[in-house]
Amino acid sequence: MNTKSENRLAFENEVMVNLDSMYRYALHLVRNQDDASDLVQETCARSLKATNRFKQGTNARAWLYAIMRNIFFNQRRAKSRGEIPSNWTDEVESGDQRFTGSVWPQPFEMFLRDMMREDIDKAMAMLSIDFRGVVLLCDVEGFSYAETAEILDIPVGTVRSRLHRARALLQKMLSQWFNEGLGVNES
Amino acid sequence: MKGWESMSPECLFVLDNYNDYISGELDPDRVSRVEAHIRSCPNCEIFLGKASRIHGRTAGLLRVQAPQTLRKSISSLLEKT
Ligand SMILES: [Zn+2]
Repeated sequence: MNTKSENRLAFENEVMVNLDSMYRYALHLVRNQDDASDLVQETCARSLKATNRFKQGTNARAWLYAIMRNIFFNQRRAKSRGEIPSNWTDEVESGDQRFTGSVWPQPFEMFLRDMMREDIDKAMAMLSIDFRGVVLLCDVEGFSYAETAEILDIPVGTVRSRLHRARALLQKMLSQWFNEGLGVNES
Repeated sequence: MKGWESMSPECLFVLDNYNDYISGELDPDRVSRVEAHIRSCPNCEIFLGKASRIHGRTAGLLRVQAPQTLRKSISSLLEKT
């Protein structure tokens, strides 16, 4: 009979609240849905073992991201050395509901949104991992420049310049959808 | 910027700072300066509006959700551990 501590419950809440955001970050790192799900699972398993280091009221999401990033880079290093990384082995079915957002309900809008999403996905894939990272953290997840800098372990000035450049590139690649060009090219 | 013959130093100021403005990372003095300018410059007002819309749409579309299968396996992991 063991009741969960208040800290543990707070931790679980943070995990569930941040699950979408963790998945998006995983998708950004590994670029495929199955591996992204695996990475999120591994991150949860690892962070569960470290809940004693979790402090309520701190930025749990940034902490979870940092753990995920570590796992990802360790696995990548291990792979490049020809070793097999220790993978989470629980049942993970392929997620086919990648695009289940509920922003625009009408059929035509949904069709349009899917088309745009495909293009945005392609455009994002064309950005380097460094550029994609700042777009995701700042623009999608709403982290501040300072928080993003901390998560990625780079200077704030680098966050700013990468973000501005990435936005300009994305806008250029997606200009067909935004049939209103900004008429400004940062380079 | 094309067709901005009347671009003033304040327009250039907006151009230099709009990205940080959209990110909410501009300091309050600069925010006031940007906002004061767009009240009197239709070009910059339109420009900033477009930039915000494009930014909002892109971010919205990138906001993918976790698959239900993953959500379920994470809940059961938390439950049994
Ligand atoms: Zn102006």
